[in-house]
Amino acid sequence: MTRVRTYQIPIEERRKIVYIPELLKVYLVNDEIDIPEYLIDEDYIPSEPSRPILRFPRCDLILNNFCNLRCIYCYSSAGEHQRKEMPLAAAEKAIDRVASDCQITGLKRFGVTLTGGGEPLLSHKLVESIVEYCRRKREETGLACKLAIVSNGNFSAQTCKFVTDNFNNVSISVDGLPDLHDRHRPTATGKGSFAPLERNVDRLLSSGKIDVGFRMTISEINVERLSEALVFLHRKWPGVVIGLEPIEKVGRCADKNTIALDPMKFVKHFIKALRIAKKYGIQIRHSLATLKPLINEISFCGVNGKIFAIDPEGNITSCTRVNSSCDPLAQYFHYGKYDPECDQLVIDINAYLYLRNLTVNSVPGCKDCFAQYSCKGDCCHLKAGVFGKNFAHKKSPKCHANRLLIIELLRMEMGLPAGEI
Amino acid sequence: MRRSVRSMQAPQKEGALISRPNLRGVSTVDELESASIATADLSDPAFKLAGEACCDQCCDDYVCSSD
Repeated sequence: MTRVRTYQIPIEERRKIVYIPELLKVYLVNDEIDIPEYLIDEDYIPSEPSRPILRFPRCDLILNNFCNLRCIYCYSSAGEHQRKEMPLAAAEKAIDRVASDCQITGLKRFGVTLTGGGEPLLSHKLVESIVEYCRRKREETGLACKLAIVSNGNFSAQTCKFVTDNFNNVSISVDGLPDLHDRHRPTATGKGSFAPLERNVDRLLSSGKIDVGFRMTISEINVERLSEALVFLHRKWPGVVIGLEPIEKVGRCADKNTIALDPMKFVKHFIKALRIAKKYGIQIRHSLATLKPLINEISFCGVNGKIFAIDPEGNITSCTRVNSSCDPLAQYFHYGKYDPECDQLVIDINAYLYLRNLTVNSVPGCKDCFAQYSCKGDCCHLKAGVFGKNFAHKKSPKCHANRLLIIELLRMEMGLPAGEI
Repeated sequence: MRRSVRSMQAPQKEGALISRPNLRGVSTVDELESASIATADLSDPAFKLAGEACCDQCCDDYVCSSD
């Protein structure tokens, strides 16, 4: 016999939603019915999150800090700094580590994702060497390898063929309708970047050899046409999963209030888009719009000791956005470094253990919140930027909007009309 | 079916449940189920809400390299 926590959300017409995250169940009841904070469930057997210490089945390799685009919101301000590229030896050590950890833990496949910083495919020779090293590691260990890459989609036909021939997944950053995409994501010479992206997405999909996903960034510029953009992308490239995230006021958009997005406005348009996506069968993703699989996750992302990312300087970071020692937030998110003298990745155990505690359980204000199972206290990078050193114990600055978003998800799943936002 | 919606005796009408004192308060999930106007099972495989594919809830990219 186990008790499960209930959360009650009053809604119109003297009714309330009763949400039991542990059971992944939602109920609509009349508000006259008394429901205690905990209910007994004869069948429920709680499971503990699996959190192996210092075992990494996958790594993110942040190859460089330079880019052929000048996106107006780039968190890395890519292209503005001295050019840096990851040493191949650091990448090899990271791949050695994830393959070894998979063997130790009995997993059959290690994962390697190439990402930015900048545009990873501009480091073409390095990418080729990493792909070759992964191939050799597969043969040496007998493990499978899942290779993924994040790209802006502006590359040559030859590079496109290389990507389709060698990667399992590619995530392309596309911000919706072509005119708005081009406003968001101009090239370094000020041209639009949608047309080259369009050609390459067509090539990638027609190859039939690689999974393609889209990553859309939402700002004040494109938020009001979000639903239109989703339908446009779906009709053009049906079946591609679209990840949506609002801009964060960091990097190149830190001082640009004109494109900063009010969290409530994002929720309003996101909910509208979600309902339209459901109608059209468009698969969309959003970091907060998660109810189903994450009941045992206690952190917004893998910042709590799961993300094993190497930046262009060889730093080990738990946040891919913090990819240089020059970043003031490096003190919170870096937990080691590639040491070229001993040719080893050296992990700072104390820093790692600190990161392990970056969970929603360390935020007192989230303790009794129904949204904690989806929001997990929200993004630590966002909070560190806003609150500084005490960020780990702070609620999200978007708390109110996040809660409304989760309520709207519950309403949608109950078949209720959207609430007023 | 993702959602099961069950009709009770005019549950939306004000006071409809007052004549059923055993439903005024519940202490188990089964009792809550009985007292509810509708339910949604979020664990149903047909449930396709966002976030399903990205097990790390990665905020920077959709690509997920884990199993």
